[in-house]
Amino acid sequence: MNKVRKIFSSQHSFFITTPAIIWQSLFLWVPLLFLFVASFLHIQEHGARFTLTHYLHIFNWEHIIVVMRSLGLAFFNASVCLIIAYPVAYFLACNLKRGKNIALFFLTLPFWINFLVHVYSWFFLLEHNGLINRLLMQLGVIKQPLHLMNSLAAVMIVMFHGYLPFMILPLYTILQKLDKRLIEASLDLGATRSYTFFNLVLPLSYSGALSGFFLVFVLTFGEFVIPSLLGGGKTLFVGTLISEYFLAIRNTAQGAAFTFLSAGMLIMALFGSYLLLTRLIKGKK
Amino acid sequence: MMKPLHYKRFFLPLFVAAVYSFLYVPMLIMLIFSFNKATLGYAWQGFTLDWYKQLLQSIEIWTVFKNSLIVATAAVALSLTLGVALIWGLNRRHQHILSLFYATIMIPEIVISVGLLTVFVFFQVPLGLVTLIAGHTLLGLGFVIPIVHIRFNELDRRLIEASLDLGASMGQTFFKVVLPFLLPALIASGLLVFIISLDDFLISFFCSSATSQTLSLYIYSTIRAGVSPVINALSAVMLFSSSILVLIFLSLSSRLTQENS
Amino acid sequence: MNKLYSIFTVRFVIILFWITVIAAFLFSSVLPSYFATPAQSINVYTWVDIVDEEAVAAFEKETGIKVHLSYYEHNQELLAKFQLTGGKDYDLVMISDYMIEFLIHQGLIKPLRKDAFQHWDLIEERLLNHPFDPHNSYSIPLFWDLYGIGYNKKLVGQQGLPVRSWQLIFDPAFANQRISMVDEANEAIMIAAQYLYGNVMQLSPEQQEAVKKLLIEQKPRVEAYTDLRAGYLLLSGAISMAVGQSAFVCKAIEADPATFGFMVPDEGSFMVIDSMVIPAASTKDALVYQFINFIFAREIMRKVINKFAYLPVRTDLLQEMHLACVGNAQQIIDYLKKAKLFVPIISREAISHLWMEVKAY
Repeated sequence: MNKVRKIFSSQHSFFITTPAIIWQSLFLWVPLLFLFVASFLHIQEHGARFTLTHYLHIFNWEHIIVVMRSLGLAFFNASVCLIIAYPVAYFLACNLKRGKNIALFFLTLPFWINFLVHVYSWFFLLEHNGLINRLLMQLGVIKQPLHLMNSLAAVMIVMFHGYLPFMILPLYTILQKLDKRLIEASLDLGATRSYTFFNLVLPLSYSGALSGFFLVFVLTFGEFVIPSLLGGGKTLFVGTLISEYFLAIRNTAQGAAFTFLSAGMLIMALFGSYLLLTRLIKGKK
Repeated sequence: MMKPLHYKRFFLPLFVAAVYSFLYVPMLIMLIFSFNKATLGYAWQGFTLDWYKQLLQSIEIWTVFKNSLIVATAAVALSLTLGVALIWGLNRRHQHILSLFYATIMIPEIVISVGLLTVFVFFQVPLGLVTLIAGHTLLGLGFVIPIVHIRFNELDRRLIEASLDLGASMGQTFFKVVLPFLLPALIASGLLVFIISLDDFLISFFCSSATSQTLSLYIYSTIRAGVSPVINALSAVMLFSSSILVLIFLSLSSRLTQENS
Repeated sequence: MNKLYSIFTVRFVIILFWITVIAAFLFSSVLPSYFATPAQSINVYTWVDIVDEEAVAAFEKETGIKVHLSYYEHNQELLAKFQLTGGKDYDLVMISDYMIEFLIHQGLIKPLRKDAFQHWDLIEERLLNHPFDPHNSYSIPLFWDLYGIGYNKKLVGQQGLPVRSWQLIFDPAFANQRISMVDEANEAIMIAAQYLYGNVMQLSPEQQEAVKKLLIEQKPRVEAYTDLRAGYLLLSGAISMAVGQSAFVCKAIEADPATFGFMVPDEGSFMVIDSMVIPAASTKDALVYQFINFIFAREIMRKVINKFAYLPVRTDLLQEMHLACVGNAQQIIDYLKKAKLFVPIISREAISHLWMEVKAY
């Protein structure tokens, strides 16, 4: 008995580290494994057998188009965010002398506002009798209200609005750490602002740009709320289709197969984007 | 040579100002409309605080808010406890185990949510606040562990050695030496997990039942049917409380970075 | 070697310990149901707009029986609950018609004691004895609803509606009118099939193709596929016609009958019947029947109808109906005669495949 107690007391660290690991495994890795296995099962009343039919069923144009659409949207959104975020982050990190705290406050605030509130706020602008339409009609630009809501355009705008802070912050963080004297030195040596930016700042902040891009890409790809509320149910995206499979159609196996198909295509797209970005940013030497 | 630069001087600040306005204009408008008398339509029909009154009196919203608070608090408590326990107890040799936890951020939340739903249904776990807490703690661990780990690495190991040499037990060393040092990281990541849990939609959507609705779910199901002025008031209140939380968070993280330099 | 073995065992025990703790945490919400609920109480599982809380309070006061209401939103939630627990948590469940057959088949609900329910003769005949529950052995209809088209009189019916038919949402002549369409795959398919082929029980592959084509052709004029937002979209002027349940649409437009109307197509429409069933595992029969009889009272039903715009199952209430929205009693009974239930006319797989093709592009 004493021996057991001795051994147990030597295992204190094991005792306190296991809960977290078990938690993570139980609630992340096991579910993923489950889904993966389920995607290969044909579930019947009395048992299940291995099958590839689910993957075959979803390997058709309708499903592929949905994934490509989400990928395209994700890439477009991440790129636009990157292009717009860079000048902002650069300005905040390098050019702004005073008022940095205020700028940082307003930069961080969007993260802490409920995402649904973000999306909801656009209702007031985009709705049929919303502000944009009323303004345009009053100015006489249009005669009939535009159908802005329930469209792909609405989805794109709100995605951009929602995820722009996610791009600005990592860029800002890494640009902050940049040694400003390098920039000064470059300018002193006679380089133009843009040359300095493209050949010095850009490659140095590469990791921030990459992490921001990937973050926005992955988040946009799996989005559910924005297409669901602003898309009008007219087009399917990966997020809404997965939800449909698990909640409406209730075909877990096929839903799982689709989930992994999209995940696979996501990984490929991420890898491709990584290569592209690396060439663009670092290749400019 | 100087004149052209003169224009360009203003371009960037103006651009940044434009971006910031773009980020905040929709919410400001929604804020203004929370005082609008009209129920439907976007014409200004007079100032009113009615919606805020309705907000305060709505039993449903208070219930939902209570649920969100319970889940968020529990998720923070659990993820902080589990995370700190892991980092404190982890052997130097086994540091690579931490990489298990970095995957949470990289996997799309919808995949995590449907996975959780499938497993819960399969093992016949009753869906409710408890399952929400489980899911949110999972998300929380993905933030607590990196943040606390970085902070922990900044702790000079010799302090721990010294404490042990002076006769303190591991437990005492932890509570008297390590924990106070980790405190800023704990508070910062705790706040972060809190807000993530309050904000979360996907896990709540898939893994809750009708009796365990959270704030996000309530907002979603209400605006799915159209615009609702009470939600405006609710959003305004949430905006306000978020601002306060951000101020706390920023002052904490600046204190963290100050200590480093 | 011994020491290694012991360490391994201890570690194994530790892991088991934590798994048990976490499992106990996960299942902790089951505990309260093991504590005896007061004998005089029943648990009712329903969705939000069907049981009036004031009526419940009145019932509790009159009989002393406590009623616990639990709510669900999707039928999937209901199914999951039933399949997990066998429905033993609940004594009474409110449910849509198309779920009932499945529950009967699975043995999850129990047959009714016909004599325990006092108001059979009050219920409109045509709402009883449907194929999903012949002889109403298992379910009692509570409310029902009709599908139709809500419309903006200024945009589409200035001199009265051109036709009272599903043509309005399918015919190319009206292609410039923006509409909202139902978001349920089977409902959309059946409405399209009704328009193309009338009352059909099955669709041949060619007919399925035609239905699919029709729905795809309809898509450009669809502002949104929705059930919940239909009324709102109509009100805001984004659409001129909304396809959906009368309760949803009418509730939204009742404030402005001059501008908005509701129409049930002449060639026949669809209905849904919301019923009450008793889970097989329930043991509180006597109390449950007391509650059912209570909420069938005329005043209480009338209140729910006025509040949520459903249609009544009681013949007497039906006779006195004059919903500005749907029509007077005679019209409603006419619609009832021609209405069909939503039953699957093609296989589940075919339904989801078709719907995918409509939505994916």
